Amino acid sequence: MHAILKRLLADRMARGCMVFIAMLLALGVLAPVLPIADPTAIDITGKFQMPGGGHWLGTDQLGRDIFSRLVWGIRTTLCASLAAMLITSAIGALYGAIAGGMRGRVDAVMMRLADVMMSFPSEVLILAIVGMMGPGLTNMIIACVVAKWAWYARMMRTIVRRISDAGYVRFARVCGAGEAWILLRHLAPGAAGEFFVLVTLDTGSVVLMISALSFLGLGVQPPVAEWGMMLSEAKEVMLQYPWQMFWPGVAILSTVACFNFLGDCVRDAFDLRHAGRDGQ
Amino acid sequence: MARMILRRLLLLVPILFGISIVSFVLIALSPSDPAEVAIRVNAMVPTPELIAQTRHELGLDEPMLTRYVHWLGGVMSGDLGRSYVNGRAVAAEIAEAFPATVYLALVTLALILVISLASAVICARYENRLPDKFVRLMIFLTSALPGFWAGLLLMWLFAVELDWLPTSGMRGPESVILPAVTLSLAYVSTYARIVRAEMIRTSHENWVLFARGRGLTDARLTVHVLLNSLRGAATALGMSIPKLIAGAFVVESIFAWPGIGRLCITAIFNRDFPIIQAYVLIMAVLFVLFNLASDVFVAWLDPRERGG
Repeated sequence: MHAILKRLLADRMARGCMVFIAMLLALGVLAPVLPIADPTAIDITGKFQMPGGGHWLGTDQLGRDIFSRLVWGIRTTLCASLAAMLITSAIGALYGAIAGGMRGRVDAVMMRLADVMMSFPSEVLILAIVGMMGPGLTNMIIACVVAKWAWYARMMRTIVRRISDAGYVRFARVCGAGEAWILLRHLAPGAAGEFFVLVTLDTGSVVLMISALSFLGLGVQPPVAEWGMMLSEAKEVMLQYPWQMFWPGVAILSTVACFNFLGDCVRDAFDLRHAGRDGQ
Repeated sequence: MARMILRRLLLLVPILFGISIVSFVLIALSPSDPAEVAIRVNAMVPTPELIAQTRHELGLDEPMLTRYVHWLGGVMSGDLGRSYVNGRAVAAEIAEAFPATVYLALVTLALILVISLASAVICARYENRLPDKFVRLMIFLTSALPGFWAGLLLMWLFAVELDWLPTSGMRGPESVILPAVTLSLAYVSTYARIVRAEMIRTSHENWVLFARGRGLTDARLTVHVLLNSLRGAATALGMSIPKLIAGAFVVESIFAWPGIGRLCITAIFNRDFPIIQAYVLIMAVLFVLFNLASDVFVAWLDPRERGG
């Protein structure tokens, strides 16, 4: 573990990505106490201001401060994505580990269910679930979890299978190591690393999905600030004020790029060349 | 080969059955009573009598299992129910919108092939030199680019500022360009990466060295290396066709492209459940069928794969 962390920290770009993500998270958490404008304060007389003056990045169609909406947007976009990832990976890991550990009939039944879930393209399932349950942040997170857990479950099962068939685990078993010991000492650390790589690689795509749904009006509802929704508001005034589209897009692009890059770096640090972005 | 196809077709049966159950159960996720929704979307006041009557008309007063069997029977014979909004057959609505989506998907596929193969060839020929690094940076950026943002920027540049292309809708052959380019961006990065890695691996093989020793020109060698590096991409590409159709809803919605993705989004805002349900079902069926087709294709390319 120590060696992996060292290898990761040795990479300048990886450090940069981690700093950027940490900064985003800090900004998001601290948004209520930071000395920035109220993201929902409407000032019709001061709409579409250019950057400068009291507003670093200008104001939007209702005169709201764009910078402060971006910062508050971290709370919705990034936190929703991370929450969705966390729940999905927890359910997927547990399900996959149980299936992989039980083997036999239980495994077969569990994986058939997962196969059915995986036969839906995840975008379609997310769209449909949000569509049925109605727009909203919670529904969007639920939809992401329902659509994606099976992919994680299958990955976890494969990992658990491979590790428990590995020579050193068999050896430990022959030596009389208890199941609990094997689980804690061999399975958990080995599986956690690989699983973590896959989760990091997939986070960017979840951020994209969540902002896309909000862009379509299926996610967060106004007046909450969210990057995708800011873009859809900017679309309405594209003809007169095209620069309104600039900052929310940059925010999404840089966040997703950071997660993708970090995912690649983490994978290299774990030396898992074979683990690709095949989650989807 | 035939045995493998037959075996895979048999395996499809339980999966398709599962898909139908999930698609059917989806409607139960709705927090509102479908009967009430069906009344409201037609701008009527849902009185208790009217709700009871509509429930009966839609068959919602029957037990879930009966409704499922009834629905499945309908689906088998091509009847996907009726839209709550305009009362038209869902199958007809989807059949109308489907060609537009397929057209968009095919144009996008062609674009993906051209762009990703071209960038992979550039990368592999100039491995770790400036052109390779530049193309890889571009590929990396497109993999993080939100499709809807790219779409808006392209629309602004080419339709608003330069006025070369129409902003939206499906009029004339040039109207497909912006949606197709936007949609292709998300996939180019995947294929360019796969093909690049594969080409670099192939180019270190002995037969390439031998061919070079025989005096083959660089251009011909590149063609040979490329052709021998396409297997991974071919498998992935087979899977992308349904993903292109399924993932098109954002792009269709931005560019007002009259495809099934836009149909489904409109249906979501109208709470037109039968259309959403049919959309999910069709997408999943397409997905598994294409999956099978791409496996068969790979088996045909490489006999070693035929066992599984």
